[in-house]
Amino acid sequence: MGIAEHILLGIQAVFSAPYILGVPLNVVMVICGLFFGIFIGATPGLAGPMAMAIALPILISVFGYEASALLPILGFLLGIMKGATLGGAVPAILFNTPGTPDALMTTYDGYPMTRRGEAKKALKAAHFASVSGDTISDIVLILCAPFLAVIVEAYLDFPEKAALIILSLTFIAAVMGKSVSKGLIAIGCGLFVAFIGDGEDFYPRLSLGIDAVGGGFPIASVVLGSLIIGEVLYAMIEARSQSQKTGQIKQIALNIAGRLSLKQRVSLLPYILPSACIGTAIGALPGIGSTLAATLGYTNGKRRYHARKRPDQPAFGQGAVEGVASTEAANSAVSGANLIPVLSLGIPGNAAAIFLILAMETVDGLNPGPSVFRAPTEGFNSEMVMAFGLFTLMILANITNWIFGGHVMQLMSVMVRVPRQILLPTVLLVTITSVYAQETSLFAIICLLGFGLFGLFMRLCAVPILPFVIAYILGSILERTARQAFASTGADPYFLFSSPISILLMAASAVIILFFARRRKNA
Amino acid sequence: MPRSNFQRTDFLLGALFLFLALVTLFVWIPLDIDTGLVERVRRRNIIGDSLGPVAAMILIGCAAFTLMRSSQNSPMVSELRITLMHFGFYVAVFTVTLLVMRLLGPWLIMAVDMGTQTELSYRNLRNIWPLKYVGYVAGGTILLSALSHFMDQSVSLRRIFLFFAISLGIALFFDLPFEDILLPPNGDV
Repeated sequence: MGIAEHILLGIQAVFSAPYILGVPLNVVMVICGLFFGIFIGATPGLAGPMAMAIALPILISVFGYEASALLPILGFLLGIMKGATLGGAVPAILFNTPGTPDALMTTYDGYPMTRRGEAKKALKAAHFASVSGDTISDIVLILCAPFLAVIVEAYLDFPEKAALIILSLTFIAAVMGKSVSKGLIAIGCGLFVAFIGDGEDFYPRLSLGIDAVGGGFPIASVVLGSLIIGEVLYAMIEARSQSQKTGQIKQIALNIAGRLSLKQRVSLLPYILPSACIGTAIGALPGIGSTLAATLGYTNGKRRYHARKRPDQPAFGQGAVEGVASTEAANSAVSGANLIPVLSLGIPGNAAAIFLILAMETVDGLNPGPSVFRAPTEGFNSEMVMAFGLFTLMILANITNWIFGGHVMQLMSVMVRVPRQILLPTVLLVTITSVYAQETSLFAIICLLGFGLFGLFMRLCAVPILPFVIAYILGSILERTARQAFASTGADPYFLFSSPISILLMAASAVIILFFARRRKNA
Repeated sequence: MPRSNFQRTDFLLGALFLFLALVTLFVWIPLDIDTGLVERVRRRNIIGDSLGPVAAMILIGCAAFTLMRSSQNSPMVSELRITLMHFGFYVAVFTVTLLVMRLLGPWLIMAVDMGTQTELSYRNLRNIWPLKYVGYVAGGTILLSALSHFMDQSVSLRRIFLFFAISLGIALFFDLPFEDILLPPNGDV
């Protein structure tokens, strides 16, 4: 069966699900996820990964672990991922409050526009740019991921795959955070936690004789604890510090007006397209994240704008709608491209991708990695069908985003009124409850809170937490691949240097570490 | 709390991780892993269970040593006392919350047993409304109230009622539509 048949089967898998009110379940899940994502993104203090973390255990409880559950679950999570990116522009534009670091640049021009009475125009520009960037990024994903996977599968054997994972981890350690050493410490901790309670021997390693640890820590507790609980606990300390200084936690008020004409939309395209390309290129590299994409997109837009600016137009950073478009197109383009390493290599590049991988690993039907796009000699590859089903869901999410996203975005702007001292503790309780719903064990909650405190400690010490989580997820894959590579090379202790490609990948790891360490030192 | 205050802790952070790496390498791993770096099984050499953890610890140790050496600031921790207080507060709140969630329901049943001379058990009654929500809602209200008070140092009866309603709302949200989902602590008792 050829690629075209797999694509058709993937599309069919999406639309052959049971119908709810005349709409296929998978489509309903995408729409619900998208609206929920915009709601979350528009709420200051909340982010897409938090919503994905809370939703995943509930979705698994509802749909189960069978392969038929995969597309509805991924549809909802993809919807959240895309919706939250869009929704993040709402508090940035209306209240000068970036919900996420990548929305900081949006405040530079978005908030001055709101103060000029053009909030609606800024929101519409953000929606137009964000969805355009996202769509371009998804097209690149759909075109590139299968080819990259085929190349990896054709040319890389076990030693090269092990070296590739090491290269990814060192790259993530080097580019995240302000210190390469701290990134490497985070990677080491993530690998070590992944090795606890797992292994080939009958006795579960590093379990300290505790039966509950024998099977390893619950994966949901480690990921949600360090990523979500740690962030919530840190935000609470920040709010406490703010409250002690000013006597209150900052709350905000609301005003929406202005419009964006078709001509103005067309005039934004020269800013949106380069930013989307920048975001896509950065998104394809694991670990760099949307903040750098937003910064580069904004800087590129600023250069172009000042070269063509009329005297009556506001300067970049003082309410130029082009500034909002440049930033939003770049940070939204990261999300689709981030799935290129996920689907082709099984390597997550950001927090949202981690939850997609978590869903794929928990539910049957799709194990992300090069084998997903392996053409079968006879019959069909069910994983490839699921991958094309996933692409169909992404296209559906984009269509929904184009049609409804802008309206939902404006409706959700009321969420900025929810006080943080109510919101953050509630997020913590919901996360605890959703982990218990999945694991049904107080031990899982104790692990969740323990890793939350660990995540808080890492944040306070400026140690990046995402490398820890990515290394934790890749730890067992790295060890399994290394075992296979060791066996396939006849127990060669230098298996990581057994071929020119693996030598090249290992050398690249060393060069990356040295380059970034030197650069940070000079900075 | 600005993150920059913690930049000066780099030296201590490196020292801490170096110490932990050495203890793990020379105490924990040898005592808690049965196989070596490489094992011989059925006349074949395979990677042992300790190779991965040893490699991770060597990575942490080297990175921690580099961090200590590259730390140019003096090892002062001006906010250490406040940070420890925050950690202590969180640990205390989490402990109380989990204890209340775990014990309140069974204690209520014990009290009823003592008063009525019956022999009920919480395990048999954990699916009965409102008993199945008692521990969760009480623990949740304590957690929300304590953390909210931590953030803005204010507390009021109105807000406690609000948190009670939020906890109850979350309980109903998880419990009513999803038959298979259990709330804490009903899966453990």
